[in-house]
Amino acid sequence: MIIDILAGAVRGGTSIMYAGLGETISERGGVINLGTEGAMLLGALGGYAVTAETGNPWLGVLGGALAGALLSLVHAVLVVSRRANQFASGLTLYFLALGVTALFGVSYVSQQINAFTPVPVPGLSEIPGIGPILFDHDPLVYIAYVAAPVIWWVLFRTRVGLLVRTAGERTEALEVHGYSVQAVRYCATVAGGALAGIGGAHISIAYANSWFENMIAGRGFIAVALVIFAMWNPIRIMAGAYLFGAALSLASVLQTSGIAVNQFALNAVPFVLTLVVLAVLGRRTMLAAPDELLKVFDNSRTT
Amino acid sequence: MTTDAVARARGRVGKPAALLEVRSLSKRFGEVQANWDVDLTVLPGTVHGLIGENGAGKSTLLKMIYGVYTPDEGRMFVDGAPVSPGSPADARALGIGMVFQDLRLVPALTVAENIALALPDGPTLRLARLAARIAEASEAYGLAVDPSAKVRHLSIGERQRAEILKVLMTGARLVILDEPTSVLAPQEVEALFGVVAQLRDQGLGVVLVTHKLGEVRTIADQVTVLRGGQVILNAEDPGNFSDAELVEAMVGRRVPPLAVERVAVPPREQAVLELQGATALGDRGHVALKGVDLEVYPGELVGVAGVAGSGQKELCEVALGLRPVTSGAVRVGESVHGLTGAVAVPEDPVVDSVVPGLTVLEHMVLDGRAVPRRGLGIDWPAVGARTAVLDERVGLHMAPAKRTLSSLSGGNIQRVLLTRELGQDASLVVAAYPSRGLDVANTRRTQELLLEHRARGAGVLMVSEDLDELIAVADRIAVMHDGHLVGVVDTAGADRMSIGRLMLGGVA
Repeated sequence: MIIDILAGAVRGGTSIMYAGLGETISERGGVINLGTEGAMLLGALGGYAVTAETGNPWLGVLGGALAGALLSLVHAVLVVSRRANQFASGLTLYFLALGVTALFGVSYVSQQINAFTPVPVPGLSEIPGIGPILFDHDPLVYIAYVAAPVIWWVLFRTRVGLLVRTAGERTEALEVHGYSVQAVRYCATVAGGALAGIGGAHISIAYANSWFENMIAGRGFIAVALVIFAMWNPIRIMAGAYLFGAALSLASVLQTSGIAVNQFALNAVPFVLTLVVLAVLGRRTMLAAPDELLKVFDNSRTT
Repeated sequence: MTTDAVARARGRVGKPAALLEVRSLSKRFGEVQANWDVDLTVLPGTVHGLIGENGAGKSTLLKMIYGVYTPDEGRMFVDGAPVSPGSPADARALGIGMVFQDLRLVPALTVAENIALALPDGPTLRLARLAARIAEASEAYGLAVDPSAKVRHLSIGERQRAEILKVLMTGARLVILDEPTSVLAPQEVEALFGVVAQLRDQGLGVVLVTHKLGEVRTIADQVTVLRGGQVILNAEDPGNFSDAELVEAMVGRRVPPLAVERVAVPPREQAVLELQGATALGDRGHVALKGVDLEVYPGELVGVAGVAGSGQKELCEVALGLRPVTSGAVRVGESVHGLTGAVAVPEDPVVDSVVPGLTVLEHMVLDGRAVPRRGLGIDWPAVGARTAVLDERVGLHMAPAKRTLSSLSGGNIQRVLLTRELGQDASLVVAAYPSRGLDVANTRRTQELLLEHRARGAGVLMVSEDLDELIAVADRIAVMHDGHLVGVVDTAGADRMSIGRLMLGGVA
């Protein structure tokens, strides 16, 4: 059963990891996107619809990424170009996405698709314990293994990453070297939304293999919280995402093994976990926050 | 290269090619003629001092040279060739580098990452190779910095060295230093001037913008004085001028020196402010004030010196009860000589005591004093009359009463707050950087106002980053370093260098 829970943690944590990595890029660039939940919903429906229409789940991933990117593009227009409040814009876009996906998703409820199936890695999946936990999953899980270190490398070892981080830390420094703060923030926000969309698509075309209304069920909000206590670090996002995956899989494993625990209580576990972690860390993690992002939190300042 | 090279560069037969030549530059913003017919020539291997009051047009001139503004009229030449930089990037490509007063470093990034930001150098950062290049450049220019240190952890002096190094590594041959010494301890100023001299010896041109006349005389080979957007004085060897002559060029008239005669500090009685082991947190949650013991007695002016961010802001806020102490005690005297209460000018007025949308007149009733009433409302005509009397008596000439604060410059906002706060009696006066943004005449008047409070028997606590100002007005100078009060020096017989050592954390 331990192996089931851990394998489920990896599988269930993957969507949160994609969204958390995306939100890390966005926040490193100075933009908080509470619409991450909405981008995941659009990604889930977009991914499901494209897979249903084309029969190709890879095109579904692309569709999910585009859907998530589109919603974040709206967010970027509002908060970067129009300088709207980041929290208000993100939350509103979440509700918009919730309504839009419920409306247009009706025809896909209970429709069958050609979903991703687990692809055991030859050899590695045979290892007792580790094999089933890490190497018997759908391809998006494997891509996520690589995505976290690659995004770390891009953020901390490339010029593009340096520009993103500077946009979140001190916009003046970016301007003085002739870069456009707006362009960098647009790119970071849209890239973040695309990753959230992929996370959403993972839920619908690899994890649940179905579409239903509000199927993300708060994973996007957990991802936003995760970014804070992972201190804006992609590698910590990976660890944190699997921790939340474990909380999710605990619920389903207990359920399938017939142990009687209140279903609603189990569903609350990831959120209680989030609150506990936030309470324990307090404002300590905020020391690692990008400076310009802190201004968004700090209501004593006017900008 | 040595000074011989400089001598050769200066003594070159015929006209030496100027590194930068600015001819008849003019720039207008609406009603304001910010620059009018300005000439400036910087030769290679020289330091050019640029002085002028706030609003004299120094920053407009610099921004035109650095490609931020486009001049309305006039021409610029670099190495004799006509140029018109349309952006800072253009200016950098011409070899013009600018070290901004507030620096443009990213605190959360390392020195190497900050330098990488300025060097267009391929898609990956290759930090190891960059660190080697930084070490090489550090060596060549005598600017020691640790490439892997986060800027946040560096002192102000180190940050400045990193910024200068960054500018030099992007290929600058003309380095513009905008008020570089205003935040430095005297020792750091000496070190900076050592670097400036080395750059000059290597044939670079340096423009040093400052309002400290002694510095211009020490280091500059040429001086240009701006006033009202025009060049008032342009001369070689500023050492030949006296302070009074340079001030007169800057201000347009003689500014009488501060009266040296003071009322003696009365014998110590009940302190108006007493801090015992005061410890407090800063905005980022770190311990910003560490066990400070300090008393301010009636009739004395205590100056607070220290490198920016050493806990001065927290000290003032703790003294005023605006920031809670985590341990220790703060006591405020009840009343002395019939004076009660405290008045204060905060470090950052725009953030801490200005309501941008309200008018000057409305700010005059925002200080908690009784307000003339008419029925349930405020008797605005009476407030207006009271304010006119106050403005006359204080003599800082506030902006018109109907102007909103959001439409005023920093110096004008400062004058509104100074008039309101220093215009009333109090037993304790806390003034953080009171002369920030003010011109020479208003700075002098502000110092007089603080001394008038002192003479009436109030205790005055004044933070300044200008040691000369503190030495001129304070009875004692409390020196802060890293949140600690590291020493209290009697101003009589105080010497700048020993105060500087305290500021840097050493012992006097």
